[in-house]
Amino acid sequence: MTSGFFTLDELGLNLQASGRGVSGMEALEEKSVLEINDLATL
Amino acid sequence: MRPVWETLYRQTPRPAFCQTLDWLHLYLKHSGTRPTLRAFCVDEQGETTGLTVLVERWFDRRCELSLPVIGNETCLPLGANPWGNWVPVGEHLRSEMTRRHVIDLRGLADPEGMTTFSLHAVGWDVKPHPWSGSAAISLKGTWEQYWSQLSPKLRTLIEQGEQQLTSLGQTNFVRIRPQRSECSAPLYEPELYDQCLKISLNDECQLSQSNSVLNDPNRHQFLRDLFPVAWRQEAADLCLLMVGSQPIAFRFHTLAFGHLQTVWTAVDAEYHDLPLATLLLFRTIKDSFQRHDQELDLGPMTADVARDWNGQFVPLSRFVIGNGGPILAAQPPEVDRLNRTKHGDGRYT
Repeated sequence: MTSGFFTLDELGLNLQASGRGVSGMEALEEKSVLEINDLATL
Repeated sequence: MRPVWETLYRQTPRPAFCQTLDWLHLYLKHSGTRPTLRAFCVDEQGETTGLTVLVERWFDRRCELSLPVIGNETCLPLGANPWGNWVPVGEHLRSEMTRRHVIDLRGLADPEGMTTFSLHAVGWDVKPHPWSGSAAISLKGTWEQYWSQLSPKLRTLIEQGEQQLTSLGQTNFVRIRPQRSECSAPLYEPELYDQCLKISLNDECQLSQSNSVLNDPNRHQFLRDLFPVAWRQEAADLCLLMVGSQPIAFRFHTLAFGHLQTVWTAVDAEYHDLPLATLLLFRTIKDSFQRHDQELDLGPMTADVARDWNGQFVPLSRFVIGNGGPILAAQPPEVDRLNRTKHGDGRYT
């Protein structure tokens, strides 16, 4: 099953299968962001 | 970071070569204003699950953050759930946003409203604005099934065009898809770019419309550098339509895990009575079915042409976050015309 040209699995919307919330946003508090400004570090 | 980047690249749905580190190096080399790089790694339980690259530019006293983009190639967020990147990245950026700042995201897909939803989750009251459209042809199933689903008008154009093509003498479809040998990277021959450039500079579309996004002369220097990089990474796919030993039309795609993205295409104006672009695309798709490719992204496209080719039209949106509105009134990329047959009165059909 697709939405646009993305499948629901690719969109993370196959909730019954994954048991997860939309976009994984339920776990936001567990996420952290590291910013890199130097191309050499990438 | 390169191994992490490559892992996320493999996990990304519908990946494109313009989401690689090699492409980003090229982008920064060719972005004349020397933007500041801001790459955001999203970590979840000790593992990097997403990566979003933005570039920062100052215009007078205002600051714009945008995705790296050249033509129809945009370095979109990476990871198994790229849309989810916007929530932690947005949270990270929100604290530094002032009236001088604007985040201008152009050319994003918004499937099922996922991008809008993620940006709203940050607390940004943002709406998607129409930007451009792309078309993707699924290469699953058989060629015969695909052919039977093309519009009758297009099939007739192809069949008549193929007959006309035989009047030119011996014609050949040549596809070059370099692959690594056991001990060395694929050998790149600069003459291939030169041949494409020659056709491109004599492209019938360019003669009347120089800003067509896939054949914009401003991209030629970038493309000259992209060819060898894509070659070395086994990400190049060059399709040529030849008359004798002379190429008269080409399509250059980048390749990522069976997904082809159209990057550059042109036809020789000398053969303007033939629908060369259509015929070359027809042969390309047929050959891709035989190679078991997965998908061909045609690039900037109108919905009706996408429908003719039994493609999936994907509307792309622009999201502007910031009180001051966009800094650049950038125009959407112009749609390229595939069925380019020029008539005596200058019309294209």
